[in-house]
Amino acid sequence: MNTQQTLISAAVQALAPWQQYICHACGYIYNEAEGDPDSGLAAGTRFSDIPEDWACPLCGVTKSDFERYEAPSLDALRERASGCAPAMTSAARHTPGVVIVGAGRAGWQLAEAIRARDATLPITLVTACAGDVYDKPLLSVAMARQIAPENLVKETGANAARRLNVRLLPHTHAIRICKETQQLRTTRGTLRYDQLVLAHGAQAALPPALPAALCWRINHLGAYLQLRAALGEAAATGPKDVLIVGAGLIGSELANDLALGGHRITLLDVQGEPLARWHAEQAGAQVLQAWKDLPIRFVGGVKVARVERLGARLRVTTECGQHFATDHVIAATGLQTPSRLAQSAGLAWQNGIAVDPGTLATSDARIHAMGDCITLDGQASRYIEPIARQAQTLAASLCGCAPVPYEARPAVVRVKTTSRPLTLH
Amino acid sequence: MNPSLQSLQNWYRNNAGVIQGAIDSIWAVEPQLGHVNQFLDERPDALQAELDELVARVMKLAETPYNGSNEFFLDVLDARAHGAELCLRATQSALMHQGARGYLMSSDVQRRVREAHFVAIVTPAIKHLRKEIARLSAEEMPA
Repeated sequence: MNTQQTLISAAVQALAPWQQYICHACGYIYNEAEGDPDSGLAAGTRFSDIPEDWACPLCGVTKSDFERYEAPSLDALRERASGCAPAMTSAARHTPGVVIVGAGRAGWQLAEAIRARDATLPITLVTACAGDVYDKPLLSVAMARQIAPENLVKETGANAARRLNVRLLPHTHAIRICKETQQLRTTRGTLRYDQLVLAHGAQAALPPALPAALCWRINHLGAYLQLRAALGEAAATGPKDVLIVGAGLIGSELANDLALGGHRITLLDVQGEPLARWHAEQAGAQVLQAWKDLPIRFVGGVKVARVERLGARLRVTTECGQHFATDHVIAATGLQTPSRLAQSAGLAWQNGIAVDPGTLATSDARIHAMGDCITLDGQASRYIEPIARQAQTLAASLCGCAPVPYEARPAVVRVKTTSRPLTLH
Repeated sequence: MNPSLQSLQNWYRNNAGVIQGAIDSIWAVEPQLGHVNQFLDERPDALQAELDELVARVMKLAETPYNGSNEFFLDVLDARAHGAELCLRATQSALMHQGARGYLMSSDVQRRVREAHFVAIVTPAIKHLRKEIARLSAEEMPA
């Protein structure tokens, strides 16, 4: 570079506004205007001119641990902070009340049922998601009914919390129950409870052949919205190839709906037909008949051996050596109850959190459970119908009202394959 | 060996002592101040029970240092966070129990308050531990 160019570029640089750089490790901000006189950097030293052996004056990490920093507006910070309140408030220290883990249908229904009986009992709702209220069954029919993803939320978590006078801790992971001290440890602090209700649901049981980083699991709104964003609108960005592993209820419903949304579906199952659990009622034959004009290809009697990335696409290989190239893989291979919380409290476990069939009490007197995470005599019943009745049973007991015993009933399953809706027993 | 577990053991060596010292200093003034101290939020017997449970949990974790699972690591991180929180609560409680004598510059009680804050803020601080626990607890999905 000749002298003139150097001078020009120096002049241009001198005119540029001062920048700030933040240390990843400790949050120290290097301001070019101020420099770092203690380390020998005069005021006005550009970040790019700092020698590589310079160290953060606060914590000692190197220059490469810094990145450009633009101070966010105070309003934006206030907005973000209001979405994640800390666990401790002075009121909560004295009357812990009821703490509910999970803000799905079960958690919110219980909050509603308690409020209908008691206006003041403190309720805290802890959830790993945003806590927005929505109807999960709609995730199976959103495309058929042309419900835009943004319209799936019925009420934001914040609004529901205000309406029900509930303290909502969204984006908060419950990590451990300390039952001796009646505390729930979370990633936003430790909550005390008088009564704890586990309503955290179940999660996908992923076979080892289906890596989490490559396979979607659609068991809540957050994951569904991410999938829809990744798929795009078939009309605008073209149809995508979607391979669904597992042709049970969820797999068949999703196949049906995504196909109606214009995407090309391959549906795999180890059984020879979809909905094989209801073979006696010929459920599989009926949906296959209904799907014959839809872009759904069912391949039965196969087991996935591996999924791997192949350029921008994925390749699924079955144990019998068949290959499928696809844009997305969805695993619908069944559900299991996460055991961390129950285990930390030493709760009786039988394929899920074992509860008393009449009272929904766990083996700990101060802990109840409801919804998809419980089992009665070792049997899970992960349907929507029991939840409202379980909420009534629990609310009556938590509020000290006359008992409303829970009654387990055989589930009637409505298969929301809109091209051929089925009711199965 | 799981490096975080090693740091947990170091933590235990250095800081279970801070908590125990704080509890002991509460008992030390119980004869003369018990009549007012009974009105405080945290009492030494409950703090002791919580410390004993935590120590038992750390000892249990130390039995399987080569466990590389996510769940085990979450337990390790949470035990450390719990210890830091208990340090803060126990030492503050000790100062509340001792009153002015614990506030004097020469008192071990105020020194432990400062030490407890070191435990809570030194990397990985309570906030870092919780952030990492949240990251490890999040469901992994396709990018």
